[in-house]
Amino acid sequence: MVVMKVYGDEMSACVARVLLCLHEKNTEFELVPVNLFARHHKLPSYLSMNPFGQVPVLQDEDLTLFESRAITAYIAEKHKDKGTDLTRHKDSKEAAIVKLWSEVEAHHFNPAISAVIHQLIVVPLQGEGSPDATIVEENLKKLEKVLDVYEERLTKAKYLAGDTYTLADLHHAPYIYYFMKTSHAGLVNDRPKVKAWWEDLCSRPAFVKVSPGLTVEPTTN
Amino acid sequence: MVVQLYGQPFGQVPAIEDGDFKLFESRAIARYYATKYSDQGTDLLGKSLEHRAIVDQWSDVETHYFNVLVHPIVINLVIKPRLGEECDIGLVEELKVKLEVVLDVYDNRLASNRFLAGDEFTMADLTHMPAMGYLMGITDLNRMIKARENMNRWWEEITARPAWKKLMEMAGH
Repeated sequence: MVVMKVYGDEMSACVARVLLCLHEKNTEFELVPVNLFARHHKLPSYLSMNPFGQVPVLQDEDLTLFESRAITAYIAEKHKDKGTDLTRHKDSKEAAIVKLWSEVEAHHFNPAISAVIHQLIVVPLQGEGSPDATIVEENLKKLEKVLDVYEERLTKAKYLAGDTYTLADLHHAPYIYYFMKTSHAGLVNDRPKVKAWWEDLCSRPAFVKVSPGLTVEPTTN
Repeated sequence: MVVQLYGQPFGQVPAIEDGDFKLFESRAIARYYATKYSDQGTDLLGKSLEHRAIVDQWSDVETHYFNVLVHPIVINLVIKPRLGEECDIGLVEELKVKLEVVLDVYDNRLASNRFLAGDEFTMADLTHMPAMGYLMGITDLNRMIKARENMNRWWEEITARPAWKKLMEMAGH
């Protein structure tokens, strides 16, 4: 049996999202390094796998897939009978609730948090000058509103989609990990339910395997 | 009010009630119905595990590459004028530049694929349609699409579908 290949770099939050899923499913894989600093993800050979020139890409025999959340959905479906039940596939209504909160992450949470991480971590890393304070401030405000919704939601359920950990929670973890390294960690720490949920997420064995790869540090801002 | 009536914590439409079951997020709702009625009508989700993954991939592209640009364009050029609000022209121009790059990827994809996920119409195509409908009503954006042969071919084919025509009738077009 050919092992799945993940193209990317462990420090990428989107790559970490996929690695996290693979670990939750106890699935073997090979990480094929893509040198992001040398912009190898923009070379024609990489673009033939992902025309948007982003990591990660998954190769499973003759299937090539990009978009980290499509990849996690694929892994979770392929290995639905082993490891953590990440999708609640046996009940269509429960599966829909998992999908709902996954959509919330993609549409409400991710745009705000990724904009903050981009300014505080990626911009300095790429030597593109200093973080844009206006962008950071605007997106922190958006993020606060989302976290207020989460705080309310998590009074009713241990995890976003209910009593068990699913993809809806998993998708959040890598960016929150980076966010907690910034000076704005209070947004999480000041919300008791969100804080408890995050402490649960980052103490999972699968996450403990992935977090050492998330090595980038923010600038002091 | 919306939040209290439908328990939708972000105060947005749509939300559904199917018996006791409540759901928000349009793409989760669409997927729920596509799964619930998977034995009838068009197969929107994909047949094999691999095909479903490709459908998911291009559906995610809609979220992360297409909608992020098109949503603020539509808000500024269509919605704000209706509400008598000022539109951010500078932002729209920046977004249009980024959109051209994204549309090139789509056009290339549709050069060798009849639909985004392959030979058949799926959720990946469907999920683009409402926003595309708005774009086609805006002169420069319409031109951007029409200038791309494959995207244009795709748009004409998917808007010829009876479900779209029904929607347009309901919306009074």
